[in-house]
Amino acid sequence: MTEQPGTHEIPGLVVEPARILRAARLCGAGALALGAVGLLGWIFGIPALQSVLPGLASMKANTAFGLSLCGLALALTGDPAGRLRRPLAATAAVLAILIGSLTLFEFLFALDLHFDQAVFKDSTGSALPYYPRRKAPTTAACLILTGTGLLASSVRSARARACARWAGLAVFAVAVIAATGYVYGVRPVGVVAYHTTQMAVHTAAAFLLLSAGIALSRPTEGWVATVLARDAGGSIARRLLPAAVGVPLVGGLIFHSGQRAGWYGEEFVIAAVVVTTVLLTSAATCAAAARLGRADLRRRASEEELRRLNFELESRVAGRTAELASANRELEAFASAVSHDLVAPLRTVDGFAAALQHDLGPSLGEPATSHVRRIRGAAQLMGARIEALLDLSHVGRVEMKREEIDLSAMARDTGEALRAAEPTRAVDFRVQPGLRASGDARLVRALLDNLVGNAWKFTAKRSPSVVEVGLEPGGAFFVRDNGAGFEPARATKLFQPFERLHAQDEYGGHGIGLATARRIVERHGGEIRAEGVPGAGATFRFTLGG
Amino acid sequence: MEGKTILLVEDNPDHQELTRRALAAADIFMFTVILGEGPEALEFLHAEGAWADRDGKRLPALMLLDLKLGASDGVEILRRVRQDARTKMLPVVLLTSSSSQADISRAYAAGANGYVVKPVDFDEYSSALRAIAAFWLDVNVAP
Repeated sequence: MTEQPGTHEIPGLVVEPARILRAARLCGAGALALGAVGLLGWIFGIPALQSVLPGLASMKANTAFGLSLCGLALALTGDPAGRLRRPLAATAAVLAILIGSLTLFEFLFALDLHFDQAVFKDSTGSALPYYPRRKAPTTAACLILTGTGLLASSVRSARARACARWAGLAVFAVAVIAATGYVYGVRPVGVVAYHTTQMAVHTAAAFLLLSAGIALSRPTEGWVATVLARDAGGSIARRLLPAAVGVPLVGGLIFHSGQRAGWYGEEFVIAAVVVTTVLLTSAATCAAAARLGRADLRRRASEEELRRLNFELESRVAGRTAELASANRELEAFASAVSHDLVAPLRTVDGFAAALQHDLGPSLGEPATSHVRRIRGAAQLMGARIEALLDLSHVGRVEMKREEIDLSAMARDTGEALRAAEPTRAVDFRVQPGLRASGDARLVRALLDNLVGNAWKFTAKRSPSVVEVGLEPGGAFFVRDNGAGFEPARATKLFQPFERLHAQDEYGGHGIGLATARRIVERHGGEIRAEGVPGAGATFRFTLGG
Repeated sequence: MEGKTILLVEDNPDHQELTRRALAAADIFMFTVILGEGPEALEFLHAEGAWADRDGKRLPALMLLDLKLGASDGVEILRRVRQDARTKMLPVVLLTSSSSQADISRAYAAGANGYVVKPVDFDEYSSALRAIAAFWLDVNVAP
């Protein structure tokens, strides 16, 4: 099947399209076989193959040829393999149209082009006086319509394919009339019989197959799609159509045979067929309606359920949001309490240790002087750690406001602050100009402070110390230094709180800065990675999402 | 700085002592009134109760106020200072341990003139006090 862009959407078919296409090709093969039977009848002169039963109209040789061509064209549809398929099918269809047109032309202008007898001599005695050896005009018209339908259904234009469907339907209607004629044992009478030969039995059968095949060759379009659609409409169609088509046909056949047996007259047949049709199609309609009603009820119930679930979900989300807000407030209060109640005693420790140093001074002597220094160092470190932890918790809670940031200017500010804090250090600080980012200015500032501050700290033993801030071609910002570096195996552990790169007294620091940096990056929806070589420096790459 | 007074409101006796020492270390030898409770500070400012014999017209040059006082809330005291016509223009700097954003916003909303987080390091604390005194008592022009 060739999927055409722009074909209307359908909610899937109850039968796989590939299987429908296979059925279409089978229809084509059937028509081809029927045509071939007719041709064989003419080649070997077997009347049974020409007209099935003695006395019935025969399938003319060129009709048989035309039907074979149409069958071939249909059998070739939808087969994905073979590049010759489409031109071959089109040629066959055009030839069928040509054969039909010539016959119709003869009828219209009362001419005899003698092509009917071109190959095989029709020697069957026919009761019909007028052009007995020529196929029926209906047959000719059907050949034209079938050929056109086959051609048009393979075209890209949706309108052309709609025409193909109508052509197929017309052929179907004519073939059904002919077929029911045979089933009911009706012979053409009067003017119709005088002017034409009848459509042969197997010709009618072949046209039925061909018209069905034309419709089935486009399973996702037209009434095939409507009937086979996996929706309420398709379900109704599948239930009503058999009744609408089958009841009058079968009923007619049954009551008609009774009439022929002489049990009752024609009026009774009509009345009986009408009543049967009315009753059975009404019953089928009611059954389908009841089924549709139940389906609708189920659908409405599930819609109601869906609405209820949606509402539940919304209220649950609202509840969770409120919980989260309250948890946030609690955390905020907790942070405030921590900063006051945990830090205040530390200040007392450091303050009075300082008082000892001040009041006793040199008279304190060693090792007491050293002890007091250590007390103060520990108190101050703990103070710094608590502050860093509060920062980390703050970074996770604070409301974000994304804006355009001049990252180069921000990095230079950070560098200036670090330079001012350690005026004795000479650091070669290089910032790529024109770095722009989108993020929360305060958080990104804290991120840069952490990363650049780290680089500053770990290049203390280098000469020259080089710290670089820039943008990589891949779109990640980087902070690179030529400092102490780290073992590559530790690259991911670095971002956990209290994970330290180096021994405490070597570089100082509280071990929370990179955890804060990671949380800032994650809150922006970005990523941060560390890369290091021991003794050769470290590179931190980060993105800021958005 | 002749005749200028600093009012320090701080409930922790250790910190009262440390602040006194930090002021001294910063060479700020100014008359400093140290009070432990918020209501008492209000009585002092309004020359009421225990401070009724004080000259109510003479306000301190600067009030250093702790955020978390034992029984009362520093911000509440600040609000009452601002509500009173006699003290509403008094320079008040909050001197606190809390760096919480909520506390900072609350303080400024109540009319704080400054918010200083006390460093743990005593030497840094002393420098901070020196900077505060230099600005509010020397540089700044009081109402």
